[in-house]
Amino acid sequence: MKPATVLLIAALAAVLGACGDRSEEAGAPASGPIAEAPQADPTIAAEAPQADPTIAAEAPRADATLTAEATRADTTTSPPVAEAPRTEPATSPPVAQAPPAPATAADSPAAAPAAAAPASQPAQAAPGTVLRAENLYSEPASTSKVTASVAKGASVAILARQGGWLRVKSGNSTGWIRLLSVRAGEGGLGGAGIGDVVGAATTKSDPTRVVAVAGLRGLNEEDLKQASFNEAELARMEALTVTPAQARSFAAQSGLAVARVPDLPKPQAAQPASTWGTD
Amino acid sequence: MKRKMIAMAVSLVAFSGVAGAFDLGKALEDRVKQELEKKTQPAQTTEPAPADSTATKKIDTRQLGMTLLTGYSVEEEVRIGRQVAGNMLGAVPLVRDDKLQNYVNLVGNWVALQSGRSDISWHFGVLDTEDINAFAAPGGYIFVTKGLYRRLNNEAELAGVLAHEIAHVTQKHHLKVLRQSSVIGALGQAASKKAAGSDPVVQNLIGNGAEIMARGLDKNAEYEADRIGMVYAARSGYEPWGLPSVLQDLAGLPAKDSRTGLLYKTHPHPAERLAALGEAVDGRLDAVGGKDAASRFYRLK
Repeated sequence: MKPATVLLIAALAAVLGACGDRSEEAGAPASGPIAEAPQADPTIAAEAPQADPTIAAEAPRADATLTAEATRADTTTSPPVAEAPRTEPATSPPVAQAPPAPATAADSPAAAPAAAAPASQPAQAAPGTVLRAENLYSEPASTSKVTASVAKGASVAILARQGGWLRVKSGNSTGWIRLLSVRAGEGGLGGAGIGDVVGAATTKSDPTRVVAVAGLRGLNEEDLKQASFNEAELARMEALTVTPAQARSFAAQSGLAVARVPDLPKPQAAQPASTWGTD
Repeated sequence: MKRKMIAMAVSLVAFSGVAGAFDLGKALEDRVKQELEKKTQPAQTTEPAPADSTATKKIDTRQLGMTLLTGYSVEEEVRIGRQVAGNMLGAVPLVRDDKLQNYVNLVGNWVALQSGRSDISWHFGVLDTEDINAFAAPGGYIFVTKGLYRRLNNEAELAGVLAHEIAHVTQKHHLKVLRQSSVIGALGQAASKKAAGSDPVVQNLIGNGAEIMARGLDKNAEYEADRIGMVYAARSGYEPWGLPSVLQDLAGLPAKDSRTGLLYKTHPHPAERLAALGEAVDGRLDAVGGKDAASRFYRLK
């Protein structure tokens, strides 16, 4: 296991080293998506065939949703935050409600066409809630001009997404806000009116408490409890294993390269004096 | 009770890593330490009293202290993981699509290569259920459900989800739960090498079936796996926003969607996870680029 040890030490060193590297690149956030070939225009064509079958597969979907789906094909920067573009399992039997909330279904983030900011305004926007007091910027970069500020808990309309940024409208102001400072959906700061699902565990005051409570269907606790060892299926899973060499070659095929990224700190607010493991 | 145990253990063996075990640097340190310990003797600690493997049969405070502080050996960890995984597959089989399974294994192994754990063999599988969830068993057995997979839009999102699960394994979150709740020295004594079938000793440790996967971890373990997962994915060359994008998607789902019942039983709500991630990330990943590798993302048939 010496290699592992060495690796770990190297990782630690890399992390320390990387800390020094992080210069402040202006407009950096945009650089990822833009620089990336597969995300830019050329790929749109390549991706189009992907979108189509999806749409076809989702015949039962409402027109608005189809439109949204189509929009996604044009979206250079990936995952729309809104509900609509997600592929809804046609087969999912347990869903009682219509899949996504109709309100959100219609708005697709019409992300910046061709990865250029600012994005164009879509017909409709997805609702979102601001999770922490934040600035709105004129561009998807913290080095750009601050156009407004939004308070924690404020409602916004999500217009587009680019990398780690969302273009939102808050009142009369429009601007870019960090992706992680907003939640999609209209549920407010916590779980969307899901006190019944998440229960008391949503309180930050007792971080050591184990999250519990729920009523379930689909895959539930009892299913797992009752499960008995399936030797054949496990053998199947183990047989599917790939080697590190195969994984590396797979990564190289699409130009994925190891990046030096420092560890993220544990936020102070959510950091109890003791670790969760000690209670 | 547990607190007492910890206190005892700490007084028995001064081990500075415990309090800071949550931060990754420390975790890595622990890991290095474990590797070193393993090389010499599995049961070795700074324990003054002689502690060889035969002494593990009896559960006493000394054993307790060692179990708590040294954790399981890699072999034990894999035995536990196999048992949990085998049970999991007893509840839900794999999707019968070898291309899909191979694809997920390639992505997963690539991300796992950046996790610093090369002492185990990583296995990934897509479970044939519309439930929306993902699971990690010790020893590198990782599952994502078909229900979650079909919501993904690109490879970076898949990488983000798998990275979160990989982080559970590298941080040994489930093993820590086992140590907390069971504290049985049984594994140490039953040194039997892995057989293909069910392992009664391990089953005894983990309770019924795969219920350990339904029990859930502490919220902070989930937040930690989110943070580390984002970093693993970014280190793998993916854009770091895959996992947050999936969380955004889940946050927008109807609250009482039955497909997320188990997910919300075992995880904080996505909105809370996004908020916690936001505090940790802030502008730190602004300069990180990365790819989403969307064009080769494997779509379910």
